[in-house]
Amino acid sequence: MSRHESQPAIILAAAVTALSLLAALPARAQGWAEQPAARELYAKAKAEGEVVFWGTQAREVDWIPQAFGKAFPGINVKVVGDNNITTTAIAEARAGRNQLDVFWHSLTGVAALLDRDLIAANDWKMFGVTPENTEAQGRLGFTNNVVYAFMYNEKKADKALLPKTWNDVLKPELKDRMVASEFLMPRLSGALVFSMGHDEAMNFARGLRDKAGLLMTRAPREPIVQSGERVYSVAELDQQVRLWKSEGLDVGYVIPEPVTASQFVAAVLTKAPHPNAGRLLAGWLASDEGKAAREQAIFTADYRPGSKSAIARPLLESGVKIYFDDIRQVEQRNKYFKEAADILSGQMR
Amino acid sequence: MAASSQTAQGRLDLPARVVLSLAALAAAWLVLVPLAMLLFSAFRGPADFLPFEDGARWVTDNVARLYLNPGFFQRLLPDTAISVLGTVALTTMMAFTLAWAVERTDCPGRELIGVCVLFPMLVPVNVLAVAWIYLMGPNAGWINLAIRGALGLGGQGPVNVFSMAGLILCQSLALTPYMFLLLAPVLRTMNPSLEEASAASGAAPGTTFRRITLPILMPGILAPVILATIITLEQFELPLMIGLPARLNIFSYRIYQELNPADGLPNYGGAAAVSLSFLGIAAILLWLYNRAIRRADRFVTMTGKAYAQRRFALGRWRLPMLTFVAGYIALAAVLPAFVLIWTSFFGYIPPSAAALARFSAKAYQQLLADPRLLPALKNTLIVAVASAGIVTVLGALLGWIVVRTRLWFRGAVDFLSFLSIGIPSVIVGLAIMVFYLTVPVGLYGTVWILLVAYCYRLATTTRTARAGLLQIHQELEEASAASGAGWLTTQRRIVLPLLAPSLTAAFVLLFIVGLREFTIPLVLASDDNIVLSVLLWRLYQGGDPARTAALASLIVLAVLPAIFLLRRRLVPNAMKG
Repeated sequence: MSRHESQPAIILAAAVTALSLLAALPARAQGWAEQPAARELYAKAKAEGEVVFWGTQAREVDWIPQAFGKAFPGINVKVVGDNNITTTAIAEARAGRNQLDVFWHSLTGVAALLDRDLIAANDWKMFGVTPENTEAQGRLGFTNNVVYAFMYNEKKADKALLPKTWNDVLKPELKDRMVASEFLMPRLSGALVFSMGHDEAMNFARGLRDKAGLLMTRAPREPIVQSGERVYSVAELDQQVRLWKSEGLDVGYVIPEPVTASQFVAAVLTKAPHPNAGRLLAGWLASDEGKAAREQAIFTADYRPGSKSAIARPLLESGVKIYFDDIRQVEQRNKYFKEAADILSGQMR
Repeated sequence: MAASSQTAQGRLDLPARVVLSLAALAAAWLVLVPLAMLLFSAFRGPADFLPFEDGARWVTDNVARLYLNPGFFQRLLPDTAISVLGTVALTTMMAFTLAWAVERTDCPGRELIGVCVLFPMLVPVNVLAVAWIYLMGPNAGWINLAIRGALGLGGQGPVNVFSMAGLILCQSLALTPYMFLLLAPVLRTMNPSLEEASAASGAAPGTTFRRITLPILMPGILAPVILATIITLEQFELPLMIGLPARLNIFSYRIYQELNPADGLPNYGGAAAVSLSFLGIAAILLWLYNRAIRRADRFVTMTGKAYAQRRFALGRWRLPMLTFVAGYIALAAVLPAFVLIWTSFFGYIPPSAAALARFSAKAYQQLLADPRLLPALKNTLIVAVASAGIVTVLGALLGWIVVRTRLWFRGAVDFLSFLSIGIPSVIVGLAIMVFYLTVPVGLYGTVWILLVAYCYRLATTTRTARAGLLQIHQELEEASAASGAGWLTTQRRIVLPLLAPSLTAAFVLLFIVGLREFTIPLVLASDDNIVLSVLLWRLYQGGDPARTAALASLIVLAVLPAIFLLRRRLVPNAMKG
């Protein structure tokens, strides 16, 4: 792939068409949901009446009660979107206070719960989820990805400067013109170790710090890019740019290579108070129907092989290699992230 | 200390003993649980275990990794020292000038100024940061565009918010209201007779200020300065938004890093290790404070003699003073207010004529339809009002124990209450969560657990009550006792009215802090105890700037008039000439 430019109008048009088609489908597909095992699970879940779902952010969870309720009426979905959910889940489990059914996080974010045997296996096959889309002996079901992107101000950016590779970001012409999130930038740098190699990835971080005049901040990037204070933003998430675009901001994005994707998963707690409703919700989130509902609600896509996502299609059809999170690399990723954070913040050479 | 030495433990009546002992016990309870957790966590590891988990063990890694790192001495300490000293100096200058203008001069519009000054406390820090980036960004900041346009310059700057100077200015603008609230009552209640005597003896105004006013005000100024130092050390939002782009590394960034790892669990041990520095600094500051005020009789200005408060006529200084006040309010209130309201209707689309076509009140409609809004409002009012009330009363009692008694535990009470400010709120939240999950008394998951957690902040009221008591001569209480009044009656009828300005200021400050607090309620969140700050934080974290700004606007609209009325009702003579 030479350049994975979003060409926002085309992408949005494709997304709207695909979403219209998806919306025209019955809320509950005629496939797995009509099978006896799934119908039985739904009946048991309905008897439980409620399911408690925790995810990382309000925007990531707020759409679920309505969408799930449309597919499986009669089950009250209580959601919490917050970054502290891992600590709270562990502390509550330790105290024997079990109120959580389904946990949604990045693949590596859920590792602390896996390590403590707090996650139960689910019969993902029942929901049409293939084994390639599960992890940790069937305890985790893949729901969606976010891909690291390079965002630009559509009115003020020089499109000839948009990078094809992450190293292109270090071009002298981009100096003093880029901003990045202090949360996401070290994560991208750390993840690039698995495609670029350690030294090149860390030199990329050093280059951003020493040569690119990168403005790394926790302040919201969108007003900084919109105002022209900086015209480009490194290490954005593709989904986030699509959301901003849908809200009227003049932004677009390209996906430089190596393409790096985070993996998000749904999991059911071992001591879930509503185990059947939990299994149904987690399974639905990992199913094609759940993924389509997510895509329609908040523009997140599934980039894994076999994905039916309209948003992901251009990138998948380009044949570019995508580097996904791997649960076996959690410890290393954490180490590389810290190293990159220290370099980018100036605490380490 | 003449005032305190006259009331020995033996002279306290039974109600006094009961009330003071209960206050000391409550204070110990509120502070010791998080303090113990802080010390415990600093020495528990490894990082992928929570401090209280079965797999965790005693380690020194957390402390060693921080304090044996050369970067700690080469970058972290110098950057932190410059940032904190600069911020505290500038904040003190700005807050003192504003408080003096409002409380001791004939500056016009004093009531309005007194309320507008508080604006930055009510607005989310991210909104303040965006406003200041719009204004002072080196490439497209409005001030820079104006200067470059006027002088025909190209390139960047000359003003750069992303620098040490920019960080100090922004932190000072944000911190000034805290210090203003604590300084204003000190200036308000000062008896001017000594200044008048100095002036009558022919001393120049500058000499009177340096040799009379400043020394008298010393405890009242030192207390807010010390609190500002710790708050500056602890707060991490502006250093991450404004300081990090300038590659400034300070303590709070390290805490943030430890609490926001790439994946998995926050490293509470690492954060606690950094916080140990705060405790050390707090202990040193407390020692300096006690040293500075060891001759308490020097600071007494309120005696049994009546005095009339007179205001200083600004005369030809009126215009410079108004310019300064206007400059502060423009930077700290008007511009952030504009950004807040604009964002609530337009999101982060920059202001322009073309953008006006995108006007939408959808954020307000969505917010008002949100089923969480009313419960959050109710919970917020319960927790903010009750915690501010409890801490104000407790702080006043602890201040009285320290200043007026010789009780054996008064030193411990003083030390403990002051150390409370050195404990980061995330550690408090974790401590309370773990404790009340382990001891199931039915508090976890309710709004009452927030009340218990919020009440640990005793330092503010203890300091202000202590400073206030130092200005009140004990002869007033002795006269009351000689007339047959018991301890409770004396406190209610003599001490409380005289301390009212200080305590009201502390209450307002704590109420606003309670209103803004999001770390503790986030850690302790459940379906039943959501508060407005958590709703605000979740909307912001969820990438919904319009609804975040809409909620913040509604909070400001509700709270500013409340503060205005509170100041007028509870401090009736506050701003009258």
